[in-house]
Amino acid sequence: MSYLNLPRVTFAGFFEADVNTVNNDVRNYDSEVFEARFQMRQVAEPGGRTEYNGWWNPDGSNAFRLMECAVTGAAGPGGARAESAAQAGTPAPSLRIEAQQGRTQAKIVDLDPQLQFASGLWGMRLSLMLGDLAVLSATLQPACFRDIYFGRVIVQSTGQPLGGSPSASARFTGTLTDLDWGPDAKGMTGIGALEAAADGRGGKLTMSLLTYGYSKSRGPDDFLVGSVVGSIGPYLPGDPEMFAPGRRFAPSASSANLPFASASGLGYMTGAVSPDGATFSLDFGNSIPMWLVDKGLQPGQVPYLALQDLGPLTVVVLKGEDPFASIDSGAVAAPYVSDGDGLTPDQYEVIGIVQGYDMAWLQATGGIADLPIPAGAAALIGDHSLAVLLGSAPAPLTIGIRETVAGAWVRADQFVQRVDTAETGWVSAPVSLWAMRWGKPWAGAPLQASLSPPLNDQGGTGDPKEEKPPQAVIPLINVPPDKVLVPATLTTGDDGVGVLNIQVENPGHPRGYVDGQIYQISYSLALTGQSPMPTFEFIAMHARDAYLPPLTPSWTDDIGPILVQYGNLYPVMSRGLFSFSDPLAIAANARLLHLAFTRPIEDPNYMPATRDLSAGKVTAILRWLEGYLPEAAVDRRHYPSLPEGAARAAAGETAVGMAAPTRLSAATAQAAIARLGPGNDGKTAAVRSFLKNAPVRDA
Amino acid sequence: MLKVERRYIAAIQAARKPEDLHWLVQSAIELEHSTIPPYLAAYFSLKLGTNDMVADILRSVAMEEMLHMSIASNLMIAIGGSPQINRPGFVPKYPGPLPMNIGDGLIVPIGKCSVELVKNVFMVIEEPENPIDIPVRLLATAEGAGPEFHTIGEFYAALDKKLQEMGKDAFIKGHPDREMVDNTWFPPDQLFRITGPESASAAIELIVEQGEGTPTSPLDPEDEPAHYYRFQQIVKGKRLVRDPVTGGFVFGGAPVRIDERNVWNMQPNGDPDTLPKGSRARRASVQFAYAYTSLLNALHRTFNGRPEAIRDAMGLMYQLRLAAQDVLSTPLPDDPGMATGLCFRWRPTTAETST
Repeated sequence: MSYLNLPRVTFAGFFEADVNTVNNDVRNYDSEVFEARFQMRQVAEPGGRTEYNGWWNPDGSNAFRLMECAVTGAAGPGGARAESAAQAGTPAPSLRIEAQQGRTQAKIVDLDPQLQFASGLWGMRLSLMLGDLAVLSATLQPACFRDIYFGRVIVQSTGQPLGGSPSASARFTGTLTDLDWGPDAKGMTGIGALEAAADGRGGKLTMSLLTYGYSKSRGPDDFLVGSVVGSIGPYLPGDPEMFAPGRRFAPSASSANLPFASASGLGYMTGAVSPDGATFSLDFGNSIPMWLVDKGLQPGQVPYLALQDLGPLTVVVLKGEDPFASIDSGAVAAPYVSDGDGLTPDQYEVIGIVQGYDMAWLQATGGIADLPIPAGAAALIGDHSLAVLLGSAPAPLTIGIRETVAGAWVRADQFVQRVDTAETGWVSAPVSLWAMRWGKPWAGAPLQASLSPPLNDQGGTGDPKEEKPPQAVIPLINVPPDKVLVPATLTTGDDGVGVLNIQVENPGHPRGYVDGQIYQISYSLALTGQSPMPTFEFIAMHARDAYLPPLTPSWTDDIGPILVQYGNLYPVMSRGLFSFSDPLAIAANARLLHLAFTRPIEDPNYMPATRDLSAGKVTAILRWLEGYLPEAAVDRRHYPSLPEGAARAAAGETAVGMAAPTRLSAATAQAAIARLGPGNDGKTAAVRSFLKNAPVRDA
Repeated sequence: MLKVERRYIAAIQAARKPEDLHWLVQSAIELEHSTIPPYLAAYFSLKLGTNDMVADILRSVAMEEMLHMSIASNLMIAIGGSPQINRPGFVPKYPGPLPMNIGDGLIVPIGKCSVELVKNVFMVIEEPENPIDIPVRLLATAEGAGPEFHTIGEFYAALDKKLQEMGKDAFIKGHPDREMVDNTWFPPDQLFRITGPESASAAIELIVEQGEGTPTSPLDPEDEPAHYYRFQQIVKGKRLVRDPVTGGFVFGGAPVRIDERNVWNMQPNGDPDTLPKGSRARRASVQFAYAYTSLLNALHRTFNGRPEAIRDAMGLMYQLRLAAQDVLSTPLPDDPGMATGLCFRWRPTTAETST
């Protein structure tokens, strides 16, 4: 179960992501060669050159705020839909969404400057408000984005993708916990049903936040602002926490839109059949391409975003079957029909047709179409692949995007890992891999995993015309390979889940000036012919250097080097509160810092906001701060626990290389880079660097 | 001199059971809170890293008012009441009078730090019953309060007297375990559990003396100048020190001057609803008011059964400081020479229309 299932409540509005950009460039972590200008904004130089300095938002606080959000739709367990706020309950409430009502702002942070493809939300608690009363309050457990779709927004006047992050959309999916229901909840369509769905079933829900239009959502004054649509649905104990299980749609033919979308522009999507088999819910929210409408505007009107009209989207079950031989054959085989193929009506059973979709529809539904399954389709849906067809009869409809080959796919749940390593021995970082066929758990599925090859140039600007680049050298990632042990193969259990027990040893400062190492671990079905996975679909791990905290740390040797680096990277601290480079200022604020460094990592007050400091270093800082606190203020109950190493659990060596479904050809990578456009914000630069370097190591 | 309407003191005197005191203690909580926004606004208007002495004075007084608000809230819990902090009416309207009509019509604005603001507003708020005329050598010449008005000090004195009168009975329905006594931020001799008449008396005495000093000394029990005299240093331009010759107090210490070049030229009494829709100034202003409202929510939870929520409140205090920088560094859209004003208002929504 997930946000794809019913009941479901949808809300829409804006978000502000006040991301910090000094830390977009890994070279800015080198305190030895850090320059004051790296805390200033980038400067455009004559001749098209850029002096990047601290990039475009050096004052960013990493705050993530929901703004002006309101409930836009609600659907009951049977799909009964109240598409306006007025119908969402009785009597006609207008529910607002308010976040962080008694806590500091939520944070959005990357795993690392060298891994910016899985930014996470931390510390968010939101409430659905009826006037002054909360109908539902819930805490979003840490959620990282996936399925980022670059180039989704096409500029109408040029037909070219809008450059950079403003062209992208993505989904942050996570669980909602600590649910508090207001007295009015039961009487409301969707909301009362959600309460019933959560009661006695673990008391959790799922939420997915679709984000798009960053800095393109609100006209000329929308710096840092984008649009958000939230979908809240049921969760059952044992469900994955960071993605929706179900039916996966992926590109199945070569096109210029790879690796983000099919030839028709439809991006990766997921759908789910309801437990009673009556409804198929398909998530177009992160999939249908958009226009930036910049033609035919009225005087004073600013360009705006609109969903592209691809015509009727006919959701079907294919009558044919992909020739899945057997697991023993080691192959899924090729799809028997692919994107762009024309189909006659005798080749499919229609589930439903989605049309008339526009931005209002997206905001009211999250882009999720709930389709009653007709009898003809119901007979096939359990073991036949699905597709979205484009076009209108009588002409043959063509495949816009289709379900993965043979309905087979696999996805990691806790795919972002922050791992403290030990001075001696190995620590474990288990990751659950969920294999599915036609939406059902796939017992006995063969899986494979491997460490990605060494990768250079991650976390810089990627701009050959960079003016006055920092002196620091960009470190390699994914090295040394022998510090991470990844089982090369595994088989899923009866529940379709295989636990990949990754083990990690102290990486030993391979990056020099920045802590630990980034390891990208790819995984897939161990079968040839499977559908491609999204480019950034891998397990992203920050293995932190082992660090034994001194009992009596000194500023000069132990604490200064850690905090000066933070002070460099987060000018908002010295400009807004106090300087991290100044031991006197740190000591004067010891109480605040001691509190912040002892909060649970899920707490929005947790320091550091980037959540990238090892338990050992946090402990060292806390021990140093103790010297500036009255004994009454020293509470050691919440100090982080230091990692303990163990013997290697298994023999064997880590396979290095990338599994086929995540590997890109040089041509695809080139097309994708072109699609990124001219934007050079952090995310875009990171993606460009990744794409540019990835094929080289694949050759 | 600030006046409290006589009816408040009469009501204390007429109280027969602790419940009769609840609305009066609630008024005290509101009063202690009401000075924090103007003091904080003045403090935030000083650019970071400048105006250190003035900033220390403003910040330290604001922090003591936070302590006083906490003590008054603990007192409420101790006598069986529940502080009501997350309510629209909890926040006074600025510019406007303080709760209990303190100050006989004194209008308190939200404004940038200036000698005029400190002299004409802050010192008036904090004026003791009988201000000591410094540098005249101090003598024990304090006179009793005139019969025609009452001061905040007298309000608290009447409260203390009534609680002594009621004795332990006043505390029977209290929940001392729900009081907030986290000594991370204030030492145990200032923030302590109120369990009976004796500890209540000590707590009330601390509020009065930190605010007013004693009739014979401008110093509070921690040997810091009381609020009135602390502020007066900004007006006199010098630190309050002891005269080594006379042994009395003089404004003769280090200079305390406002460096006006490093004060944000803040629009007084900011109001996001007057700013252009969709503007960065409006967004920043709404976020500030929303963060302040979140802070009141966190404090309400702190004093209504979840004392550990003070940690959330502390996080929000620092967020407020950052949000203030964001607002103040944003020019007013129609007057770019002026910084957008800070708005301390109950605004529990980021929606365009406040409910």
